[in-house]
Parts: sequence; C-alpha cells; structure tokens
Amino acid sequence: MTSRRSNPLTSLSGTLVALGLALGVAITLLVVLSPNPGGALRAFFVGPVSSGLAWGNLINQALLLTITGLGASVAFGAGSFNLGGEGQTYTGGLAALALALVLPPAWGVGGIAVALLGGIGAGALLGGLSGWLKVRFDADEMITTFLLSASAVPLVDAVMTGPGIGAVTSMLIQSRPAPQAFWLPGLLAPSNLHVGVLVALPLVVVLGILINHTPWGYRLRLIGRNRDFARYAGISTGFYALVPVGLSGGLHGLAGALGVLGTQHALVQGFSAGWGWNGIAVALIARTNPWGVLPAAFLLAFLDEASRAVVLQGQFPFQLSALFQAAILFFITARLVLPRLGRGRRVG
Amino acid sequence: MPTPLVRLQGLSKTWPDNGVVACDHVSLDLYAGEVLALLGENGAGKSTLMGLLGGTIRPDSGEVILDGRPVGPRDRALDLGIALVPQHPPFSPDLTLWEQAVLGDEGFPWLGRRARERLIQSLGDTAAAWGFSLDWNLRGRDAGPLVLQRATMTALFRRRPRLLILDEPTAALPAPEAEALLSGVASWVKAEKTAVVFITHKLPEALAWADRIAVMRAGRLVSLVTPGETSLDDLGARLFPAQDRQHPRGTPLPAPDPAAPVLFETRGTRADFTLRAGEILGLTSLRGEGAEALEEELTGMSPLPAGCLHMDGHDVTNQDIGALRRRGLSYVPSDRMGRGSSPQSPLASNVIPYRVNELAPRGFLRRRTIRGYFHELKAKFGLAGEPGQRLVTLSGGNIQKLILAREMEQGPRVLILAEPSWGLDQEARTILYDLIRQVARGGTAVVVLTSEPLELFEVCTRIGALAHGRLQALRPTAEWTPESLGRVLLGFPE
Repeated sequence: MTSRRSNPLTSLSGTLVALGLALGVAITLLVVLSPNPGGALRAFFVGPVSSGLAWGNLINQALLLTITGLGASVAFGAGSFNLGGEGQTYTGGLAALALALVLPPAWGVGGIAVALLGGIGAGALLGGLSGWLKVRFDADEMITTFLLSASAVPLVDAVMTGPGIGAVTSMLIQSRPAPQAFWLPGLLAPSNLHVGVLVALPLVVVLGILINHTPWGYRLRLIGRNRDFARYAGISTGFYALVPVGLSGGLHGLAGALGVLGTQHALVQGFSAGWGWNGIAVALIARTNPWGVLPAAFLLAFLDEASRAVVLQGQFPFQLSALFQAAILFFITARLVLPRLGRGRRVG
Repeated sequence: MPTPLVRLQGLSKTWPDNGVVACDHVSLDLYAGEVLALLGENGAGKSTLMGLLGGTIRPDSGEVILDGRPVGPRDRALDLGIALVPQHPPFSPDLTLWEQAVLGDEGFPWLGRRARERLIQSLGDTAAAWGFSLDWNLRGRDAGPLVLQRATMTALFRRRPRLLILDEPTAALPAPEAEALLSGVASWVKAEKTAVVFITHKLPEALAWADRIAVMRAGRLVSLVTPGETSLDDLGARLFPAQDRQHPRGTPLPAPDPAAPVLFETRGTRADFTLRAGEILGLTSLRGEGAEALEEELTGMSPLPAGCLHMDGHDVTNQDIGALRRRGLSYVPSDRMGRGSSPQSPLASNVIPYRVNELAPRGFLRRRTIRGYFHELKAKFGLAGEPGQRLVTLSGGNIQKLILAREMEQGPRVLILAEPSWGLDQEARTILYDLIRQVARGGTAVVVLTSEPLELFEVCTRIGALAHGRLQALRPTAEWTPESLGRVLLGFPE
C-alpha cells in the first residue's frame, strides 16, 4: 500500500494552517511592536473597510490579484511553475503605456482595447518564451521564468526614463503620462478602483469552466499531476508546456496594463510591486482552482491593505507591510517545494 | 517455546475513504531466526498488515509488541530495528542513491569528500555482501525500480535491522535473481538471529524459502503452516477456496489464421517480427537484456535506434505514442504508477484520457458523465473503488486491473502489454490471460513483454527470446520447452 499522505498542493487543511500561521505572526508582530496594540489591531481589521476610499482600494487590489492569481493557477495547474509573474506584469504595463503614447487618442475605446491587448501580448510573449525554452531545450521553466522576469524589470525601468517615454520633469522615476483618452474610468473616486479590473469576474468564470469542465482543462490538469502519464496517454505535452505558461504571462500582462491605464496613468517604477508574487500565493491558497481564486485574492488583498492601514495609522515603519506579506508568502509557498519533488516518476 | 521477537496482537485497520476492512483482528508471533512468507490475493490486506508492522500505517486497534514492549505511535520503527522495503520504494528524483541511503540517519552535520567516499565505500561493501552492484552516485530519476529496491534494501541493512519486511521483493525479478535474493535473506536471518517477513505471489518461493507460511484472505489471517505441512496444491486451495473460483483455467488458445492481415511489423530492429490479427506474441528476456528497451521502442516512447516500424500497413517509424494510439495502439506499461496512471488523481480521471472528447460532445465535461463512464467500466471489468477516490488508495493489483480495463476498452488493433501480471495473484492472472485471449479472438494483435518466461506458455501463440539486447529465436509456442527457452535467455546454445 502506498503512502496515503494527501497532496500538499491541493490539501485544504494545509492551506488553512499556513494562513493561520501567517495571520498569527502578523498579529503577534502588531501586538509586540506597537506602542498602542489596541489601535493597531483596530486599524488592521477595520482599516481596509472603513471608508469608500478604503473599499475601493481593497476591491481594486483584490481584482488585480485575481487576475495574476488566475495566471499563476493556469500555469501551476499544468505543472509549469511560472515564477516570472512580476516581470510579466511589469512588461505588460510598459507595452500598454507605449501603445497609449503612440496610438491616436481619437481611437477611443478601440485604442484602450489595443493597448490592453498589447499588455496581454507582451506578458504572453515573456511567459511563452519560457514555455518554448522548455519544449525546445528542456530548460526548467521555474528557472527561466524567474530569470527572464528578473532581467525584464531593470530593462523596463531603463526604458521608462529613456528618450520618447521618460517624464521630462518629475521627482519620481516614471514615464510621461498616457493621454487622457486612454484612462480607464474610475470608480469610488478617489480610490484606485476603475472599471478595467472588473474584467477579473468574467475571467474567473471562463477559466473556471475551461479548466474544470472541458477536455482541454482535463488534459492540462493531467499534465500537472503526472507529465509522464500524460505523455504516455498521447497528450501533446509540448503544447501544454507552451500554452499554459503563455496564457499565464498574458494574464499577468493584462494586470500590468490595467494598473497603468486605470490607476497610475503612467509607468511608475515599482508600480506592480507584489502583484506577481502575491498572485502565486493566491494560486496556492486557491489550490490552483480558478473557483478559489476570487476569495483567495480578497483575503490577500485584505491582509495587504490591513498592513498598509496599520502603517498609516501607527508609528510603524513602512517596511512592516512588506514584512507581513513576506510572512504570508513564506508560510504559503513553503509548500511549493513539496509537489516539485513529487514531479518525479512516482508520487507517495 | 522461545519468546517471540515481535507479537502482532489483534491488529485492525479500516480505510476511511472506502470503508474497506484491510485488516481484521490479525494476531501473529514472529520468532528470531525465522523467515515468514505472507501470501494472499490482491487486496487481501498483506501490504496493509506490513505497513502496520513497519509503522507506516497506524492501526485502528491492536498493537505491535517488540521484545515484550508495545510499540507506541511516537516510536520510529527503524530505530526499534523494524525495516520495511515497500514494493515501490519512495524516492527523491533529485537526490543521489547514497544521499537517499543516509536520509534520516545522517549522523553527521556535514560531509567532506573523504568521509563521503568512505560512506559510499561502506554502502558498496554492504551491497556487495548481498550480491548487489550499484552506482551510488546515480540520481533517483535515473534509477530503475530494481536499482531503487536494491538501494533501499542496502540502506536498511546498514541500520542492522532485527526484523526485515519485504513487500513483493521478487515481483520484478527473474527467477535466478529472485532465488539469489531469497537465499541471501534466509542465511542472513539464520546467521544474525533476525526475522524476515516477505510478501509474494509465487507459491514455490514460499515453499522453498520460508520457515512458516501465512495466508491472508479478505483482511484475515486464515492459515499459518510450515512448508512440510503443505504443498503447491494445498496452498493454492487455501488461497482460493473452490467456491471462490469464477473463471475456469486453460481456455484454449486461438488458432492463428495465416491469411489474417498483418497489423504490426518491425524490420531491421533489435527484434524483427510480423504480427497478424489474432496472434499473441510473447517476447521475453532477462532483466536488462532487451525486453525493457523493446517496451520503449515498440510503443513510440523512445525512437528506434535502427530499422522501421509498421502498423496496419503504415510506416510509423519514430512517430510518437500519440500518433501510434491514433492508429489503434493500446499499451499497458510496466511502470504503473509513474507512467500508467496519475496516482494523485481520482479513479475517474484515470480512465478517461482517450475518451474526453467523446464524453464532452458539446465541449464540456460533466462530472455525471465521467462518473457514469467509470461505473460502466467498473461493471464490465470488475474494477474496485469509487470514481472520486484517488488512485493511490487502491492496491497494486487493483490499479493494474484499472489500467488493463482502460486500455482494452479502446478496442485496440495492436495491444502491447509490458509485465502485465506483476503484482497480480493467480486468480487475477487467470482472468488476465482470459482477457488477452478474448481480445486476440476479436482480431487484435497482442504483444506480451515479460521477464517471467513461464507465463508466455499459458497465453502466447509464438514466443521470442532476447539475449544481449537482440532477438535470438522466435517460433511457435509448441516448439519451445521451458528448458530450451531458459537456455536461449541465458545466452547458451540450446
């Protein structure tokens, strides 16, 4: 009889334990480090939902994380560990902005669509490149996505201040703003929320059905569970090594494009901070199932906004927010290593 | 009467997933210096009982008493001297064999080059004492099942266990190697005053090497005899009481039709043959002498080193397995868990890979349709389990049945079976052979690749023997005897 230990990537109890530990660490830090623990706790739990502005930021963050989380889920579900979400998001933002600067503002909604598609395409190219390297040279996509992403970020930084794109006068490292015709209409002003991120909701439905209820999704999940079995069954593993990671890159690129056209209206250095990495945490909490992505994204967005609220309210250094995120990511992704070891020929 | 080394008292285990009572109040004493063979058909609870004894499974009730002291849930079996070698030892694909051998028992904070060499040397010495020759720097992913089994055994022997449990140690071994292993184990037991329990489906092995033979049926220990008190026929009757037999043995072989169409043909390869519809061709070799390579090459999993492959009149040389499957190939691999199934997926997902498009007529897969298809297959082939149950929860024999059912349900033109009876008990083998004959009568060309040459006599119309990686002789079954086949396999003139 083989070992009956459950799959760590899909076990619900493991996810809840990891979340509980992360939350425990966050609360302990708050109480121990704060001169006013009561106020800090109140800010943490009430801050993200205390006003229309806070709600707007929370929803915006959650829906962006939904999109990157869907991207990570599609790749992880197929057994492709896309760790390049951060760079794919960033590159998607650059492509969308560049198109917005070049396209005639008279194009209106059509121009916005083209700019968003450009963002998707840029992310998909970056992700697809790793997929291609995997198919062509059997290069581990976990390494190539990470390295490509890590090199994309400084390249984008260089371009955003470069000729034709860089802002002429600005204290921040950022590009020229996109013409107003390309701005996505805001909601719950002055929050960051805008109509663009609402696309996350139909995306959840489409991907949920695609992955859980179509032959394509079945094959994708089969490859994620046992690539050798999928190959033996005659499934084109090359196709499924290329397409999910490309689609994943496209979704990240979309998130980047939405951030640029909807919130910043320009390419600001570090604008996508955390969306790619947190998308991984979302996918792992959701156990790579699209149906779980929306609640997981709201949970992470809440934790994120909560730590920001604490920083704003209390005397905490601004790095605290990053520390919380790190704690959450640590506990969730500690389990990422285990299924990778199980990718050998025999599991359990 | 000496005091027992280990006492199993009233051990019971019911699997929560499916409610199967795998062990039902099993009590058994094991003495130092004895070899115990454990027999039982698939799903009788042998592996579960050994898991309970080896500490990898926790009992619902009952206890294991070692040297008069109950083994608690916090005890590590290995620290107490109980070592379990599973049928499929778990391993890490990224670690080398020596790293896995010391895992959990490093005993050092770090390891210099000299110390590492000494360690590998000592592992090599232990292995050599058992007649194994292993490359300890091989990574897990590159090691075959046999190498992994030997590495696992060597690693455990280094810990000087007092009780060794071997789960089907000889399932993948050809007869001479199986004999060498068991005779080594038997003399080790006598010399070191240890004890061994080994699970087997091969009755002659049990009679030859065990001091006592235990038989399990449906989770219960039904017989405990010495080889002197029993015989092959008697053991067979204890394993399968007459009322349990459903299929008569020895259905006649189909007569090959010389005018039937050629469905499968190889030319200029390591094993050239022409296979017509309705034929059952058996190909066998000792381990590593060609049968494993043939499994890869005939199924499109690896490219042919030389020559060409024709299926149904089409040249399919070096086409991948997907293309071969579209021409009507079905294939049961020797590696069931790694290649033949997705262990962490539900049973239903494991039976539908070739059917997904037709089960989703409008492009959408419905859970109800998939479950319905599974139940259809379950009824037709007598499968175990529920559609939502994960595959790893099934016993090895039941997993093999599911793979066979999935492949046969395709109505293949060509069916390739690699080691189809590994881990199957006699009852399941009889059913398997009947199924193979039935498929052949339906006009399928069947190739059986095996390292157990004797089973070919039961089912094949022609038998080919490989040695040194090449086909040495291929003729009708009636023109072979087990002796002549054995000589060719060993590379001797007949």
